[in-house]
Amino acid sequence: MIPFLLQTLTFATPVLLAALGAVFAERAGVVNIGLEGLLLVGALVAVLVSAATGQPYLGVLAAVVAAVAMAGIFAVFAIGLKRDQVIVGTTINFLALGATGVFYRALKISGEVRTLPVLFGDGSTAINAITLLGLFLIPVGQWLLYRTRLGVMVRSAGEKPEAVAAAGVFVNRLRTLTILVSGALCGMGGASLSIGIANTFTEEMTGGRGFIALAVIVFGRWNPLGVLSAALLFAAADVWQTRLQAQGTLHIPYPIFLALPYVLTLLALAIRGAKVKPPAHLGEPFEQG
Amino acid sequence: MKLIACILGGLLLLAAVILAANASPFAVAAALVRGAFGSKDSIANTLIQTTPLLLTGLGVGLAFKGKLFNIGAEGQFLLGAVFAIWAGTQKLPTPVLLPLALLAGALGGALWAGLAAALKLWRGVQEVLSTLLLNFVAIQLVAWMVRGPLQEAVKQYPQSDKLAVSSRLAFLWQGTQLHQGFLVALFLAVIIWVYLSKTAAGFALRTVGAGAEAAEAAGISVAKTTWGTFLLSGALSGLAGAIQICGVTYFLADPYSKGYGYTAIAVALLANLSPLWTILTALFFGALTAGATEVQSAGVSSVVIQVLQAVTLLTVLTYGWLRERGK
Repeated sequence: MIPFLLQTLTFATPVLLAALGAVFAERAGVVNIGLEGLLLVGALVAVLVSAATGQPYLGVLAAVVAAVAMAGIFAVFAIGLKRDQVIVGTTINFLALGATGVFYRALKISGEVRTLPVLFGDGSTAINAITLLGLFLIPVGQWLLYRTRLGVMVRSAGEKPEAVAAAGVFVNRLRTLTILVSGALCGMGGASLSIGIANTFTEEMTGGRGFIALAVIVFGRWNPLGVLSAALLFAAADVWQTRLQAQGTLHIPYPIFLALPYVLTLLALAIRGAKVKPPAHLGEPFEQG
Repeated sequence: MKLIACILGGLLLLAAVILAANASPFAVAAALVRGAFGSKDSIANTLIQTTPLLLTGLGVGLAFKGKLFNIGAEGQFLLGAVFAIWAGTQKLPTPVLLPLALLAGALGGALWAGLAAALKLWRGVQEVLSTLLLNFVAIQLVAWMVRGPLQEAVKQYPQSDKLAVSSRLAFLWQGTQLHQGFLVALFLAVIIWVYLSKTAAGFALRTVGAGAEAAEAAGISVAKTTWGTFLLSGALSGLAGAIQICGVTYFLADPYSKGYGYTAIAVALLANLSPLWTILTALFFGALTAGATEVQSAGVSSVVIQVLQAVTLLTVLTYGWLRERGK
């Protein structure tokens, strides 16, 4: 049981971090389907820098910087130029997929990729610092969102942007801030994937985790604690299917196993979907008067 | 003027990415042109690549016009391919097989898009999310099909049996692989243009796209329009998959798509969601896809095409902003 839980925590980390940041962005009224691309950029940069310097934590830092820069591009187009957020997010995914592919093949990774130090456990139960940080950030996020002035402003920016604007808050600056924070967390999440769970980068290695994170937000009702439970639930299903597959006791075709996380996510959305309401002004640009 | 500035900006950005990857932008451009138009075969290949992009691009454009973010053309394309190879290899009289396969493909795509429509209308699930997730399910469905129910009779490779020669689309251009599916796609572009601009259903679609509440107030059923738009959009992508089976590959393999359904988003947006312009933008991206086969020789990976798609979209977005601001 304990090994299962520890592995679940590790598996949940990338989705958890991506979803946590995006909770703030969505609460402020911004939907970013480019999370997948941000994770991917983080994953590649972490591997490149870790291999070049031998310092995994430097790799994480670089991943954060790169993903924030990418999120900055999203912010320029979605907030600055007020373009449709779904289209800008899609563009970010194209850009990340193409750019990581081009650079990964052009800059052959030389040297050993140093993975994140294991704090405790080993093998499949190893826990690293990013996983712990992710768990720590959940209550911090919950506190920020519901117990601070900043949290009130973020929540109002997505529900009643005119009202917060009238109170003297710059809605678009606030939204930009949440996008950049979301980028930073995606950078960390990507690093946890490439130099935490794995020890290398492969093209498209995020495998839809950014999209699952978006579903986790809906399932977690747009709050950090909800996101934690949803992310753990999905990760547990993932670990469970990986273990069943490894044991080889169940004779279910492999592709069906691989489809399971997406099918479960869809089912979860279908069950939960009708009952939850997204922030009222999610995805709408705002014109500060 | 603004358009030219945007295009120049996009080209500069692209050149910067290629330079950063240690390759020469001019060599890459030359390789692209050679790969797309260098010979009879490469021109035919450009048109072959244009065909699925045009059909999926029309599908995506139609949905976007109704403000329905169907990002699932990739999955709908794959379902179309699965349905087409299944129908096309049935033991039935030869003359019915080809039309049956094409129809089945359109049905498969419509079914997959219909799932997203049902989730949206009945359960309030955003279509952006459901269609994206359905893409991943479709990829695994193909992987399973070619290892299970649809695997070739000799059970050696993860692929399906081949379509009989009589159920394939005929060639269009002597000495090349270009098939009649290209004409089907062109024809449908005109049909979709007529549908959007001249029919009541097309008007309803555009009205819903302009604002669901206003449409409802004007007596247009948003639910009915949403269903129709999703099904038609999915059918177009499904047909693209079927035509790929009947005109290009003749069998199903894993992985099957080159990401046509994703490129379709760029195709549709570059055309400003207009069906007739989609012919030109599909040709543009078709040429890029065909040209990408030669890009490797210029020292840069063929995934540079995805960067190009992103840069195209950024250019389109910037131009849209400049135009709005100029008003």
